Amino acid sequence: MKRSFWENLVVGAIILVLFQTVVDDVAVLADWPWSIRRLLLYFGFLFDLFFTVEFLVRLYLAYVNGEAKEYFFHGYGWIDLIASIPLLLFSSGPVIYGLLAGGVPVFGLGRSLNLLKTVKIVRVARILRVLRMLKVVRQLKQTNSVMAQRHVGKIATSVLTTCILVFSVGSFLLQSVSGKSFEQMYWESVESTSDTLNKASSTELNATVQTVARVLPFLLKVKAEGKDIFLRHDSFYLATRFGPYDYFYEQRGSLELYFDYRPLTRLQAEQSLLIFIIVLGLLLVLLLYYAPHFAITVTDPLFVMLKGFKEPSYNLEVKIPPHFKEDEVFQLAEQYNEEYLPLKQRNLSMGERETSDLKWEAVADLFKKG
Amino acid sequence: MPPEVDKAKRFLERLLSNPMLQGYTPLQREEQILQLFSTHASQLAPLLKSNEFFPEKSWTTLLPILIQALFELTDRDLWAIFEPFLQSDLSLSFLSFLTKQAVPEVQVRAQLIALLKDILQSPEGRRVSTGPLTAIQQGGCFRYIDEIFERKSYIHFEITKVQRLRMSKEEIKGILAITLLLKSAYVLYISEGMHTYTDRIAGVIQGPFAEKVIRALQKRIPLLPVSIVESAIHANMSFGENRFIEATARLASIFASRYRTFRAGLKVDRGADTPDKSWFNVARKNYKFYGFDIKMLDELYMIAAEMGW
Repeated sequence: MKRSFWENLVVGAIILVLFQTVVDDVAVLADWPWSIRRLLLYFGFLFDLFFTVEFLVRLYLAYVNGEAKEYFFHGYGWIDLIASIPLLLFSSGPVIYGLLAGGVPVFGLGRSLNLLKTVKIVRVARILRVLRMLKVVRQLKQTNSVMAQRHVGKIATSVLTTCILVFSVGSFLLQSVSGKSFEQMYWESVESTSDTLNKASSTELNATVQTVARVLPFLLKVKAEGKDIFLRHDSFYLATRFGPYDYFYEQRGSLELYFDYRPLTRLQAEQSLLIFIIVLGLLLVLLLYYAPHFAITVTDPLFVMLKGFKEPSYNLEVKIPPHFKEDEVFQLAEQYNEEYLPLKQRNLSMGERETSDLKWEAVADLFKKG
Repeated sequence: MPPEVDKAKRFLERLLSNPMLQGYTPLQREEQILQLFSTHASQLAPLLKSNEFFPEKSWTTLLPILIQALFELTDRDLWAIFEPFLQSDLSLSFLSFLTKQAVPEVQVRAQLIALLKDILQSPEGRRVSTGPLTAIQQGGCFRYIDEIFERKSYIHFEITKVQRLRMSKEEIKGILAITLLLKSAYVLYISEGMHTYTDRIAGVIQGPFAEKVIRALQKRIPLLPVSIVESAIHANMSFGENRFIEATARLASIFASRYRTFRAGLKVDRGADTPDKSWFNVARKNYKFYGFDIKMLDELYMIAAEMGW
């Protein structure tokens, strides 16, 4: 069956968005310029918007046809839902809103808004994009068999959904029960640095800042009374490499502190990339190893037998791989080869069932064409 | 030629060009169309009665016209292949081995062409020639001769030691082709109504009738050694009932049956065995029914399995 333009467009968008997700993580890890990373974020938002619209249109059309329940529960509608609206609401939506609002309203308000949680939710929710791979899986026609496609689809859905849920939920749970994580250490350092510098007298502030800056690489900038007293990078570097949520701003009295937030983002990007690779690996194994195995051991022999039962002139035997000959399917195939085909051949030879390979529909078409 | 036949030919040309008939030889296509006429007469008749086709004809008067047109179209395609084959491509070098003297090949070839034309005069002759002529045209059986000579097993022993055809495999291929070509000649000597579909099963003809046919054919093609004629006619007898049958006759019997439904370029479905291997394995189960030599089938099956045919 040929895929429609719409289906091709969706598959193309899925492949692109997965590519975008990987490149986005790589961009964070490789410290790409902010202008490129910003472009990737916009693309991510557009894709999430596209899939949200796609889901809503599909749901509406299914509803109009009275098939909403069928689509949602049996037509992978729930995957379409999970991989669209939550991403728009919790991932790319807040990011783009933050960018359009100049970054400060969402990301620069300090810890009171819980920047960490916001950004973490954004990045964890991105994992749901991987679920869109399942939409590609159901588009793939590994075999001509509906049964093979359904089985592989079910297994892929179960495995991938479990993986993604375990990773995303697990990452939150682990952090709450584990001891000192990198994140906790980061925030403790920020807190102690802010306190230390705030308590330092104006005469020893410069020396204290220099000492702290040597041991705390993510201290970016310190301002006192509106004047820069410490700058780790020049302003060009800051402008080209830092986006609104790459740094964290803290104010203590007349002291303004800027911290590099990228070490935490890099950690999350690493985890995200790892999950992506694991899920992709699982999917490839299912599609390239399990699906052909299922076809060889289940659907192909059934297909050959079915064709042999249906078509009078079809007399090919089922190929029985020696190491699978004890399988029930191949035991059935053996009966087909050894009993049914010889009997069918004898019946044909007796002229009991003479038929033409020419289908009447093809002949009737001849008359229609005139 | 009546104008209806021309009109019928135009209709049949379109029918014959149907992709579902691709890979079939002219006689196989003819058989497919005849089966279609038989199974879909009730649907075809009203459609062919339309103004565009044959408005004045009833099905009973139209059918003979269609069949005549079909035979003419088949003959056109068939002779385009078999005329050059019989006139030059068919190797008759085995004749000198068998007769130990020079044989006028041109006369033999002319006699063979005339005989085949006679066989193909009757619907019965055309039907029983489908398998043998398809085997020759598709040529698949000759590659088995190469393998048989390579392996030097049972069939090779039967050909060279029992039948005493001590010649090269190219000569054996020539003998097999002639055997297949003449296999259907018995239809020239049967009385009307004698046949149904028995050519597809064991013991089409019995010994006394076979002897009668052989004698008649000897007179018809006197230049051909009698052993060749015997081999061809014995190819219609059951090996189960007649253990003396020549190895070439047994081979021709198997290949004629194999190629009756053979379709060139058939796509092998995933999960299915190859066409020849499947056919020979089924034939092994039915060897008594068809009167085949089981040992030959075993060897041919092994060859097909090993060669992936």
